Amino acid sequence: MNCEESRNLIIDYLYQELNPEDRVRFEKHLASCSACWSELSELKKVRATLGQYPDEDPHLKLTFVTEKKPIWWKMGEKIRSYKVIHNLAWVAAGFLILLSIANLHISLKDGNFNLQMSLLPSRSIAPGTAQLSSSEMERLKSENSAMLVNLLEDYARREKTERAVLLSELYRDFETKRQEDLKLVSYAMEQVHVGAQQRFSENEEALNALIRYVNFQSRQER
Amino acid sequence: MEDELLIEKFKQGDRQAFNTLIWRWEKPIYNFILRYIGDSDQAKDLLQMTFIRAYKSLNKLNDHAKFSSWLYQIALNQCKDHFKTRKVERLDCLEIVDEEHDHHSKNIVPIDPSDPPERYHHYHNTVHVLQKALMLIPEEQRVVIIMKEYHGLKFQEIGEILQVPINTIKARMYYGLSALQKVFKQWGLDREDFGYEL
Repeated sequence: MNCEESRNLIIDYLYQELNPEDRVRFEKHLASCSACWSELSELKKVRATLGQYPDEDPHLKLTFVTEKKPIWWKMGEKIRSYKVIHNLAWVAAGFLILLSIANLHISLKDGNFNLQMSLLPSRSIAPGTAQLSSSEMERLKSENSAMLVNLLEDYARREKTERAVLLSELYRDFETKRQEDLKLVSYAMEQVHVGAQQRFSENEEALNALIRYVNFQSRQER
Repeated sequence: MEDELLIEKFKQGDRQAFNTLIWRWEKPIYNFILRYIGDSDQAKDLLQMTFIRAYKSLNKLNDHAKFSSWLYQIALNQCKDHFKTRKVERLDCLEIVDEEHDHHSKNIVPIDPSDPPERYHHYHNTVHVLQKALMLIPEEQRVVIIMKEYHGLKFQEIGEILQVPINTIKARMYYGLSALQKVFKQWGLDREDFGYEL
């Protein structure tokens, strides 16, 4: 064994992790090599020095306190601890999910997307085959007739209101028209009156002139 | 009761079993963290975080026989996260030794060259001096030395924890010890009666 090989084994030798065969070879080399012997001694001294560093007590009392859990949680833990029940629960859950998927109903009607899931198959009723009890029918009939009466009353009420509004509008228009006509008649009569007055004064003036002329002639003749 | 049995009981819902594991492992894990980061208060915090992490993920541990390695791995990750997040000021005093190739570049520079070695005698405490020395060597060498020297883990186990080949572990061990030897020599701590003198 040479020094290079010895250096590769020195750590194993130092910590007693060398196999017996290599150990014999290594020790044989040490006996004849002062450099390797010296190096081993130095490393042993380092180990001895490091050994002066004792373990320290952390003076901690670390303890994990189990938090109080609700009873259902504890039951869950208990169930989880029994692997058979735990596995059965998973199988049952899987079965229920599969059942739900099997009864999945997806439809698209009038632009509305509809998704239904159920554990049991849903009973589909064909149109027109629905059967109702007589009391239910009576109830529905009376509800329908009441609804119809309400609708008719509502319609009549609305019609009456609309008519009244129309009449009041017509009356207002007629009144406006009448007022305008009256104004026109009054204006025309005023015009006629002014014309008559004018002609009357003209006639009166002419008559006065005639009277004056007649009086003048009679004085002349006398 | 064996660790394996306690883990089995914990997995069956016996939370008290985990407390037994804590009481069994808190001292070794605490000392591992303490020697690795060199601060007892932070080591206590990291110890708690290690056990919280372990508590949360113990159900995922399949090989119960590897519980101790697994716990050391958690503690180591906590320490690394601590170094990353806190950006802990690390004393940069040693040249990183090229473990694979260069056997002769193991020059050691003291923390402060103006500080005489006598300065370190004022510690009057072996633990402080050794902790200081451990903090001077590179992390990857320090962790191997701590795991081997103080926790007696096999090289194989250390390799599994650090996920590094066993030969690399041995090389780190060798260079780590050599570096410490130089530190001890520089500080005048390499005497046989070191433990009694300080």
